Amino acid sequence: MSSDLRDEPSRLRVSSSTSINPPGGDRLAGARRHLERAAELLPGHAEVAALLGHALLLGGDAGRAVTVLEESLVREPSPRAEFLLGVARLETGDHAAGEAAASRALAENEAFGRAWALRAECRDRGGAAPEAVDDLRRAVDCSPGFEPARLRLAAWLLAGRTGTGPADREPAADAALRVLARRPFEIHGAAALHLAACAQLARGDAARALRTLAGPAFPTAAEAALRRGLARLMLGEFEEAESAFAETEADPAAAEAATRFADHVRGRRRWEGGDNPLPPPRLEALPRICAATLLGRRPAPAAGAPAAAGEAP
Amino acid sequence: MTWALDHAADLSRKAAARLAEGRPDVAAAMFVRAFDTLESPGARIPGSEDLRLRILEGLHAATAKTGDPSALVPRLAMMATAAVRLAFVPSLVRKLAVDLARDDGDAVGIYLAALESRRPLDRPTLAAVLRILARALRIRSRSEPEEVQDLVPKIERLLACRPGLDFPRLYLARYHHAVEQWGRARQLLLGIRGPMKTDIKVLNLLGRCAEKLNRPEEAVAAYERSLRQREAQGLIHFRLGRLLLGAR
Repeated sequence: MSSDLRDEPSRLRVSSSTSINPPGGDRLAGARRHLERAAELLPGHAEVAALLGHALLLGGDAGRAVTVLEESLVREPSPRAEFLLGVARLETGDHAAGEAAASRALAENEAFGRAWALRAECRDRGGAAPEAVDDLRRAVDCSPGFEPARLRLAAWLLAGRTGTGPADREPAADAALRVLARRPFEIHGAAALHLAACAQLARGDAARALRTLAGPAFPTAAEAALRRGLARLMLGEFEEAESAFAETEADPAAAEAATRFADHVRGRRRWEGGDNPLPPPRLEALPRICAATLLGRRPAPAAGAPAAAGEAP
Repeated sequence: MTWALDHAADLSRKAAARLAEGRPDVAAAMFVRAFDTLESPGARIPGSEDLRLRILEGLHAATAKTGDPSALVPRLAMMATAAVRLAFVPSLVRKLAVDLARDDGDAVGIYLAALESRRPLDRPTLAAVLRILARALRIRSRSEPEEVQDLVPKIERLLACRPGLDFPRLYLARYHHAVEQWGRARQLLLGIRGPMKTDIKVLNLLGRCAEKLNRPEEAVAAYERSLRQREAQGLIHFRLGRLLLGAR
């Protein structure tokens, strides 16, 4: 396992300010206004308070959401309100309180997929990576249609988050591919293909990775070209590899990695996986288990990423 | 059978004689016996309709003199559809609706039959009848369907003969909403053309049906119009906020 790939999880952490994708400024503001008024007119109504907390969270006011949701929970215990409180706690940086809230939600409803995903995120931030992976597996089992959780789990498996070493790279890649292939992706197909190609490269299946990369370029054309070049290199198709690497110029990070591989091409050296760190998947562009996705919002497409849906191979 | 017809006819003749003698109370009792001879449960005599109508006319004449139509009303209600063509019915309806404000099942049956017959009623009588029907046939938002389902055919009859009325549409919409027939409920509500069109009860129910039918924009529009009529509705603010949030 390359050090780049091992470092990948830290790259998944993105601030809430970039991850929230509210239903639209006017609608969200309208929703908040009406829910504030409803809370005035129906004091003590737990469902109103929970929904107001939801609106506050989507509006980025996690601090006030915590207050409102805690008041709601005093009146009426509810797995949904606990879950929302957990998201709000996570958003305010208190992952331990977020984990506790998620655990309370799960104690009341063990089949609450998003609560498992929330606890995974909280545990990940608390440094408990293997437990976080276990929770994410439960999230995927409970809510197989929740695509961000499946992408997240595949990425974590691919990044060795189960605590296994480099010797387990191929089994980890296989496990990631199984997670991706569990059912078709309806929303995040391009991201799933990107991860699948990364997994196929990690297990040395260059020909299949090349076919996977024939789909939509994700997250950018340069990133896709870098992986195509690597696949060509692994297949010994040096001229095609060099040509693909030349397409990475627009992206400095991809171009830097491409330069290293291009050196191999020019030297006509044989591909040796252990000496050549695989370029990590661009996980920043993948749907994340953050407030927006946990709350059911579709994240805005990454720059340069096509919106087309596809299927994981 | 023939004996029953002959007996009822004989009683009716004797009752008419008593009425002519100035004894309407005795006459009324005899007309009742005559009618019941033909109408008692399980013993309705085929071909007796004309005789029964004549008896009802006599009974009306007798009760008009006693001032108490209580013996007439249930018997008229039994054959209301046929009996509404009797000459005295509009005046009886006026007495029942305006003077006595009767809203029992028999009276309601007579009102409905009178409206269905299209015989003209004077304005105060019509207003009183509709006021009573609006109360007697009311289905509330919280009504249990099984408790009010007997009202539904009556309301449908009223709507069929008076399609421009708003309240039967609202009542039927409430019933259909309660039994989860949201499409039918919505259709009824959209047919409201009168003053109730902007009533918050109508708008809120329309919003609820639109939500159930996955028409969020229509629901938002209905709730917003409702709040323009009356701002202080916590539940409607809640539903509108939920819709705008896109939450379920």
